[in-house]
Amino acid sequence: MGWLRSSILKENRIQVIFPYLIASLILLALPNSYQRQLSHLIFAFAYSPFYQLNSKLKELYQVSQKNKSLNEELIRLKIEILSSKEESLENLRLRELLGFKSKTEYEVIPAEVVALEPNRKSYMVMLDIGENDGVERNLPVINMKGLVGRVTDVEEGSCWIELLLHPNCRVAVLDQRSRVHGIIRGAQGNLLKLDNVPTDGDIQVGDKVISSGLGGIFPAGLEIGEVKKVGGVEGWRLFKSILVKSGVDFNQLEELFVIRFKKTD
Amino acid sequence: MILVKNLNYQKIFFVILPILLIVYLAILRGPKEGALFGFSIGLLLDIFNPHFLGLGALIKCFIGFFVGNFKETLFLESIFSKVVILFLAVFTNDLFYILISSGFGFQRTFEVLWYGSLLSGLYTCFWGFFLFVFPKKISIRLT
Repeated sequence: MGWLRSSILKENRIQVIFPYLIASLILLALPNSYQRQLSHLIFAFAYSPFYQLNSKLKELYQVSQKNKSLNEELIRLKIEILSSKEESLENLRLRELLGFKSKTEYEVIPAEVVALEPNRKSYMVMLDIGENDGVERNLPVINMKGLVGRVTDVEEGSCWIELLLHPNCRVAVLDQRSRVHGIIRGAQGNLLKLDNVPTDGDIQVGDKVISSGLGGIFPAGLEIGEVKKVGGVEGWRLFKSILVKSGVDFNQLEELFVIRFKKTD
Repeated sequence: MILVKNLNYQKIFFVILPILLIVYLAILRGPKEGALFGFSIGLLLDIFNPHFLGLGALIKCFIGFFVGNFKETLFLESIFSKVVILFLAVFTNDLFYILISSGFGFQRTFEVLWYGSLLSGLYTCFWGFFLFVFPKKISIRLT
């Protein structure tokens, strides 16, 4: 090691280390708060460009992944659109062949519940749309869970809805599985009663009940609810006693949609 | 097993890689550059432990400086001696850093050196071997 010592001392290389030594000692002697502040400063100066680059790269990667998944979704949807277009054209052709009238198309008008009837037993709610929005009497009202009711009174900027639970409200329905027809009306609480189903009508608990389209007010296919109880088959009764649980929570109505009929041709 | 368990991602980036670079550059460029590079890298690493800001910089600066002094010696012609220097550099760095930061707690220093630095040193030597061998082979081929 003698040669190392002599080479360091001979060429005065030791001077090289002094500034660093002094700087290091100063840094070590600084109070903790200054050390922390200085660390933050050095960090911001030296590392932040890398962190920024890293976050940008991450962002870019996420965007590219999202783009990929959106592209896949787009392709899937395009295929679905094409196939549904084909089916729609086929449907039209078949309907023409069979001489059916053209189907009525619907458009939905979104609305919000702004008021409830003070007497809650009357089952009426007010919406924030009216004549100005194209609302008319007897238009059906739905939400994401199924049929809610129908429009009874229309004003310029509002309208009143008679809920499905209302004693006056009747809807022609059918059992989705067995295609047995009946009439739905309010029963007790949130339950609905399915009337006019003969005792030999094939209705089972758990069957879905949908609107049949008969009567002309409610279009066919709107979800009403699920059969909860089937009774009245014993004795000399004419009709079954069936209770249906609506999917709609009538106590928590917020956003609703009014269905407006639109004749295509 | 204990040695392998003690090696982690943090150790590779905060201990092994910096020393490897300091030693490599000091051998390549000399004591001035070695000291500068050691100080810079040490300071950049010190900010993650602000309580000892400057300590890592000082130790690494000395390491860079002393290793750089070996540049012109024939001693460094062999790969083996370079690898030994690398190992000693890791060991010295850990020894002084832990010794000073623990307030000259010899027991703690010994534990860390035995369970951590030994493996770090060996691991650094392993990568250092490739770092020293390949550039040499490439330069031989080019000439």
